[in-house]
This record gives sequence, C-alpha cells and structure tokens, in this order.
Amino acid sequence: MLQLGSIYALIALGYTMVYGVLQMINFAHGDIFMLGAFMCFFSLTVLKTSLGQTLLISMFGAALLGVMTERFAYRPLRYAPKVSAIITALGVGMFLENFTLALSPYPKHIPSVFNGKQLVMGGLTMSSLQVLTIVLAVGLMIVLDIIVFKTKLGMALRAISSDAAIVPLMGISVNKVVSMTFAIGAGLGGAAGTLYAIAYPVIDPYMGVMVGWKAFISAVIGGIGNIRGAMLGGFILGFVEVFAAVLLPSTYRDVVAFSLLMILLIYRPYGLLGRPKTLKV
Amino acid sequence: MLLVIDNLSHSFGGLAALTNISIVVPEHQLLGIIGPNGSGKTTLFNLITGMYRASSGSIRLKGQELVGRAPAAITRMAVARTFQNIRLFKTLSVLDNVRIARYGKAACGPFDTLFRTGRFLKEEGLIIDQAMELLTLFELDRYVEAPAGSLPYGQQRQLEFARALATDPVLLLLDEPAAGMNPYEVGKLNEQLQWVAKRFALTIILIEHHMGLVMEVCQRVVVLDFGVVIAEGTPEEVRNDPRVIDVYLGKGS
Repeated sequence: MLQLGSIYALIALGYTMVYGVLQMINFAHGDIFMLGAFMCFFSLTVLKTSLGQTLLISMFGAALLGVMTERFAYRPLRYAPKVSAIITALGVGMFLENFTLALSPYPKHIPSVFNGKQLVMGGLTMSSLQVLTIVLAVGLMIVLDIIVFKTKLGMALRAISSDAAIVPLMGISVNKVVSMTFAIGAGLGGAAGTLYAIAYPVIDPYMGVMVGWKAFISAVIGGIGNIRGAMLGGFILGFVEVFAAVLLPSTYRDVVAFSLLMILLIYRPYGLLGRPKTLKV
Repeated sequence: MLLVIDNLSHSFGGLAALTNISIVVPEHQLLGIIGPNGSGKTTLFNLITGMYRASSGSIRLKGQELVGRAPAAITRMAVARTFQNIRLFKTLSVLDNVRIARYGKAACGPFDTLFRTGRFLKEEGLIIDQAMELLTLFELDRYVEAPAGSLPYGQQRQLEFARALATDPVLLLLDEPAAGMNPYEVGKLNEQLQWVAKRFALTIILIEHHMGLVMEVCQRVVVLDFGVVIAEGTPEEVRNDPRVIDVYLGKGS
C-alpha cells in the first residue's frame, strides 16, 4: 500500500505543480504517466537497458513530452478562459492514448527485472521491488521539496502561484519557469510510469486514465496547488484503497476512492493542507 | 536623455487611452505625472514596462527601443515600478520578496545550484546580504521571515519600494506611493524619495494625486487629461496654468 501510495503521490505532484503555476488541471498528465510506462517497456525490450538507465530514459522522455505539450497545446491558450485549456488538456490526453494505440497491438508485457527476493524487517515482509519503489519515490519527493523551497526556480514557482502578473517585473521570464514546471512534473510522472509498469507488468494505452484520476484525487485531497499536500494525499489514497480491498469486496476499491473525494470536498473543499482562497470582488 | 517617449498612442478597442504622447526625461530627474482619474497615467506605466504593447509610437531608454520587448527583458534593462494597489508576493516571506527581484540577474544556472558550487554559494550569500541591506534601509529588517501579506499597509508600501530597488533600476516608476498615507507618512515619503533618488542615482517618474508632495519633490511636472499632455513645466508653471486649473477645478472657476 505504501508502494501504490508513493506512485499516486508522484503523479499527483505533476497535477498540483501545474495547477500551482497556471491554475489549470492538466488532464493529459495521466497519459504522460502511461507513456512513461511505455518508454520503460521500449527501453527494457529494445534497448536492453538496466533498471537505472530505464528510469532515466523514461523520466527524460516524459519530461520532454510534458514540455512539448505545454509549448504547443497550452501556451497558445495561456490567456484564454481556463475552460479552454482544460478541454485542450482532455484532447491532448485522447491524442496521446490513441496515438499509442495505433502503434501496435496491446497489451504488452514488461519483462521481469526483479527476482522475487523478499526482505523481512521486523514483522514486515516486503519484496525488494516494493522497497525500491518507496525509497525512490520518497527520494524524488525530497529532491522536489528542496527544489521548491530552496532554489531560485522554486522561489520563482512560488512567486508565480502567488501573483503571476508581476513576476516578469522581477526580470524573470514566466515561460521558462512554466516549461521547467512541466518538465519536472512530467518527469516525476514518467518515473511513476516505470515503477508502476515494473510492479504491474501488463501495460496498455488506457492504463493512465484510471491511475491519472486517482492521482488527481490525491492532489485534491492534499489541497491542489500544495506540493506537500499532493504527497500526503497520494499516501492516504494508497492506504484507503488497499484497506478497502481488504475489508470489502475488491471491486469496491474505486467506489471507496471516489467517495472519499466527495466526502472530503463537502467538508474541506480546499483539501487537507490547502488554504481557502478568497476571491477579490 | 535617459527616456524618450515619442508620439506614443495606445487604445483599448475603440477607446483611445493615450494619444500622441511625447515626454523626454533627462537623467536624475524627478518627474511628476498628474491628471484626473482615467487620464492615462497608469496606462503610460504599463506601456513603459511592457505590460501593454503600444498601438503606435516609440519609447527609448538610453537610445534602445522598449516597445515590443517582453516585460522581463525591460526589467533587466533597469526599469522598475511599484503599483497603485500594492502588488507583493503575499505568501512569500519579506526577505524572499526582495531576493526574487535579484534573481533575474543572477548568473548561476541549475548546475551550480544542484551541486552547490563555490560560485553559487558566493552569489547566494551576496544576494542575501544585499537584500538584508535594503530591508534594513527601509526599516523592515525585523519582519524578514514574516509573510509579506501579513505586514501592515505602510510596511507593505515600503517593501514594494525596496523590492523595486532590488532589481537595480536606473529608471523607477512609482504609481501613487502616497495613496492611503496620513500627512505624517507623506512627509516621511517626501524625505525618503529625495535621499533614495540620490543614493541610488535614480531617475524617477512619479504618478501622484497628492499635490503637496508633487510640488515639493518633482523638478518637472507633466499634466495628462483624457490621454493628452495638456501642460508641462516646473511645478510653479503648472500650478498657474489656466488649462490645469480648468481640468482640476472645472471651467470658469
């Protein structure tokens, strides 16, 4: 459950970062995650790379893809009503799914990279894959946290989400910061795609839809736009889903996840770590 | 001449906000711009800083054309401004509000930042020192860690001023800095404008409704009405200009 949670958290970060700078939900992000999984497949079967190389390839590939979608699909709509950008994001998502679908027959099987070695810690038994997923995801989140709170780029990011219009008056180009945001968010999505594909080795072009929705829920639970909130939300949703499958018939898993979102939205519409935004009238 | 505005016009749809404005600002001058609400003063600032793109005409800073450049590029050419309704990064700390203004010029890239190179540490230290110096100068040093949005109104104005200076401007545009201030604070602002202009060797364009301040601080005043320059001269000349009196007090008064 920590494994699933950390994957949700990684993807949720992409949603929340983009929302933070552009107040836009990038609904194509789940499909970037899917393509991360496909890049992992390509890398492992065609290029025969090691796991580390595979991870780097899918992260860079996804980052590039994220930057391109922003540059060509979202940037022309930067000053259009938000609804236009969101509909475009849905379109980009469908494009990515169907483009991938047209390439070859599916599903594909990821060759196994891990022997089934078990690690026993105290009373816990975990596979080495689970440990790797959790360690890697948490490591990436720590790096991201440092970037956001300790670097120039991070400061520019926070400044944009506070008041984007005046950031250029600091001599900082908003477009560069937005590109970097998409690169980082999509890169994390790509990493999640690889980790997911190795754990659940059957992949198809629609795998990003449901996982993307779940990650989006995680971001909303934590408070969309809030980076630490997205991490927290991912782990909470991971826990809830796994427990739901233990206590109830496993088909109720998604019902529980979406119910959690609805209940939370009633009582805390701005999420667990989010702050209510007051609109100026 | 530091700034040459030549035949500048701007319209919003069919509404002409500024029509054929020509203003010349020599170096180290404190120029006041006055005029009734809606006369195009703030639009002029938005054109100079590149937030709007002029419909026609030109704005040259030290001979370089500003029209058509992105706001970030114009800021790096040493133009800074403040806003009529204070615009701070409210969720960022007071220190970060000033630091970010220095980052536009910072030389270090992601490589330096990632590996904490000597160059990075030196630059970072320098930026924090410079930011602290500015904050001390504006008596904001005891609020360093507080979120900018939590400061009282007067201190927010001061912080916005400090942040504008942190971009190292040669030309500073101040949009109604005395708005919402009591007479005592206006007196302080008066002194502050004069010593800041000297200390940072600034050329300042000041939009202000507070006539007392404009008359005392500015060496030259331009009067705008309905997007047209209707008078220009020393404060004394402008004060006695019949057209200006008409605009402010109504015809025949």
